[in-house]
Amino acid sequence: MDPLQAVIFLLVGAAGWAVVTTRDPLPQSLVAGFFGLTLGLLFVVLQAADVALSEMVVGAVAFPLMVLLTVAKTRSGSAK
Amino acid sequence: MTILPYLVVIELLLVGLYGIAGSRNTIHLVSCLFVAQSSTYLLLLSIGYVQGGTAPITDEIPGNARMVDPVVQALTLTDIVVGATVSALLLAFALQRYKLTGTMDPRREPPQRG
Amino acid sequence: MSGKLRHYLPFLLGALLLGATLLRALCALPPFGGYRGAYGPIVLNTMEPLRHAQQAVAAVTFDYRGFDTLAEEFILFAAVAGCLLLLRRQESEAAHDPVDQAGDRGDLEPAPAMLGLGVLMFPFTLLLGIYVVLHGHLSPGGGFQGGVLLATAFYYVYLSGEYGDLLGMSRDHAVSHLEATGAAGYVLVGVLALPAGYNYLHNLLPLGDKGELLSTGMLPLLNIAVGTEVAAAFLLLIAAFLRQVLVIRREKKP
Repeated sequence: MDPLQAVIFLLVGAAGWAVVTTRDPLPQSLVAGFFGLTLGLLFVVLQAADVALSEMVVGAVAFPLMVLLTVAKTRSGSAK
Repeated sequence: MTILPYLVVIELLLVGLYGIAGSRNTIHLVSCLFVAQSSTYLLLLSIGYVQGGTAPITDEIPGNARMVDPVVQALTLTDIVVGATVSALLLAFALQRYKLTGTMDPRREPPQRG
Repeated sequence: MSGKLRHYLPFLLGALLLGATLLRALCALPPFGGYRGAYGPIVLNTMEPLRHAQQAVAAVTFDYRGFDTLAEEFILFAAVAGCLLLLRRQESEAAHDPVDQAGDRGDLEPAPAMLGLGVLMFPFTLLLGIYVVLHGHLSPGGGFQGGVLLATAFYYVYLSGEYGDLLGMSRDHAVSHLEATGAAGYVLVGVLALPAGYNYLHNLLPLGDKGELLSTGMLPLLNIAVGTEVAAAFLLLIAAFLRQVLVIRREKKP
């Protein structure tokens, strides 16, 4: 196993922990985007370029965007 | 050292489940589910990895080169697509529940009637 | 602290048990990097003579497992339909004009940098998405990845401050028709082989030369169908969430 792979595996583990321990959903969506990015990076070093590409578009773009919009709806609803 | 990927898989699954179990916000819960589900991508790809292998695209690579397993990668692709749509559906449910009950706390009683 | 600990004790016990069991099970798997699966080498050895394909993941997704991908596409279709059903305007809600959420910058125009970035990035992202869809059978990428890219390109329109345009674009039914066309396209490409007496999704098209854009038979067609469906589905999905935030308000109770 490459040292690079080991480091990114540990990074993914730490980022996953960070997503769960961020209790407020608004910053959590950013942390989740970062987690998706580290996953994409890991898939690149595991030689899975297709999977990395789809993890990047889903995990780092589409999913945080949907979470962000849901948070925006619930926050604006409580303010009105 | 070769056990590290599987340890990270287990860590992500357990951490995600921990977040789901202790969550006080439905949106937070969906993000934790995303983490727990990511462990399955990692598991599939770690199993299919071949030491020193290249990505399974044979353009300008001699046919006898070592390559990682393409079948598990295709399975992971399906996994990611399904995971994304399930997250979207759960977020829509969370939003609808918030509109009906005014709360995001999954520990409160669910709405009895739609 | 001890109360909190007691609160989490059942979870900790269960997690410990699950973790130990998983560890025991995963250690019985081949060690990392030592996988010798039977199917991978078969795919890698047969895809070139049989399909003139060079991208094994695309070949597995759309050819060896083409029927599974059909089902996967309809999982996406059904989930997005469910989301749109849940996020439609309810009877108790009213649609208002789009309002900026940050009240203190209500009348501000979008910053020129943001506008410029949107104008600059929109065509490039669109182009990249189309490229990724069309070259899915040659290089990493494909209908799904390119489709999501295409959908996100339209969010530069929103970010540049023209959210009225975006909502108008997806409110008219062209996008939902596009989604249905993509989903039906996959089914129809597969059905084409049936009248000729072959199995579903049997390849009828010429295989072409390896590495050419028009090669590998029906793979590019299936990629385009999936790309159309995914792009339209994600556009509808995020527009539905956006409409919840910007347009739909709860009506004041009388």
